[in-house]
Amino acid sequence: MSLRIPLGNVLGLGSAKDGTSHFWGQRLSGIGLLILGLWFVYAILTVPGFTHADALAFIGAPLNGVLLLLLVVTMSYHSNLGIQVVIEDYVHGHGLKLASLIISRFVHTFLTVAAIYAIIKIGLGA
Amino acid sequence: MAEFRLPKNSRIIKGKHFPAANSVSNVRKFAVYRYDPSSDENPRVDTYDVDMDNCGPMVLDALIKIKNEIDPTLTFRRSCREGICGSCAMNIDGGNTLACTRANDEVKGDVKIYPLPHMSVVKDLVTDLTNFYAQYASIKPWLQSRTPPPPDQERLQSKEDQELINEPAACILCACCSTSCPSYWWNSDRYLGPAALLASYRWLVDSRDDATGERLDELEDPFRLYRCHTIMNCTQTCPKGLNPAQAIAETKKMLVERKY
Repeated sequence: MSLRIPLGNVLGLGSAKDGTSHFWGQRLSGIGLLILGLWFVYAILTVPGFTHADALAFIGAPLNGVLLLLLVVTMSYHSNLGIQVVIEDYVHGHGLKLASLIISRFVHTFLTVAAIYAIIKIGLGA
Repeated sequence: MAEFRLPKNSRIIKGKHFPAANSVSNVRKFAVYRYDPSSDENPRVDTYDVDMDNCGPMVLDALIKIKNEIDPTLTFRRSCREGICGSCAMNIDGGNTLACTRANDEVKGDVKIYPLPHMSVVKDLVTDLTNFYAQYASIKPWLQSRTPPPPDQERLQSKEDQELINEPAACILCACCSTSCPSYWWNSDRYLGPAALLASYRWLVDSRDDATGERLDELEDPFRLYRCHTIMNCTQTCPKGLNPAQAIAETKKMLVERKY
């Protein structure tokens, strides 16, 4: 039991003076994903075939490669922000919360870099 | 981490039934949450049969009748009985509202009455609002100006400027909105909640207040403000018909505006 006055509890460690970039980034990447998502659906519907060679040809086309890179990066960024909110909402132990945030950031970074590597590798025909 | 069931001593058990006299023809059942933390008993739901031919139209009238005539141990807050003090805020028929402005006729079936959700219960329908009031105090709900008022008159405001604060200033701090918000349920220790944020907005748009920047500084925080995920329960439940969700959205817009 704490005898601290309630106002002291509410004021806590003070304002983080942060959060607006997160809010703005989530909305902006959301708009980006809407545009890139529509392109991706269109691209999948119009792709000539689904063989390995077709996939390599599709990803190897410069415009497709650039848009795919944008899609992967935007999606990962948006997902990282979203998962962060979910963790902050529902995970309450400070240590567990911090660990979850770090793991989420690492996993997102790994998946993004792996996807970028794959797209560039195919795009450059290596 | 996540708890999916209430703790054992918080689970609601079946309570007592208080039947009406045989001579009563127009009976309505009121199922009311009862809990006394100073006893070892679990919370229970007591059912009261109320004679509606001799009862006022509002849920609060029925509660007062129950307390006066059936069970004097029933505990609830009430004062003005006309929707301006905010004391009788409780969960009626599944939604937070004021018992004094909710008519019995508006409720279908038995009238189910619980305390405001996810709050510590002091007794029966009375919840502990200490943290809620501290959150209100934390937003400094008073005029802050760098200049003294004119010596011979009040600080003047145009009609248009006054209209901006009309609605947010009508909040009665009943806590219906904050306690209906899931984000507030999970993080009320750090999230200010819709009521405090609406009160803050009332000063952000007040043309006589010069502390807008400082107020926004204090609000700009991932928890204090940005735990709002636009769920809109606050606006849906407000018994005064106010729109805290819009006030929060406008506050977020101000923060974006001053940054970009």
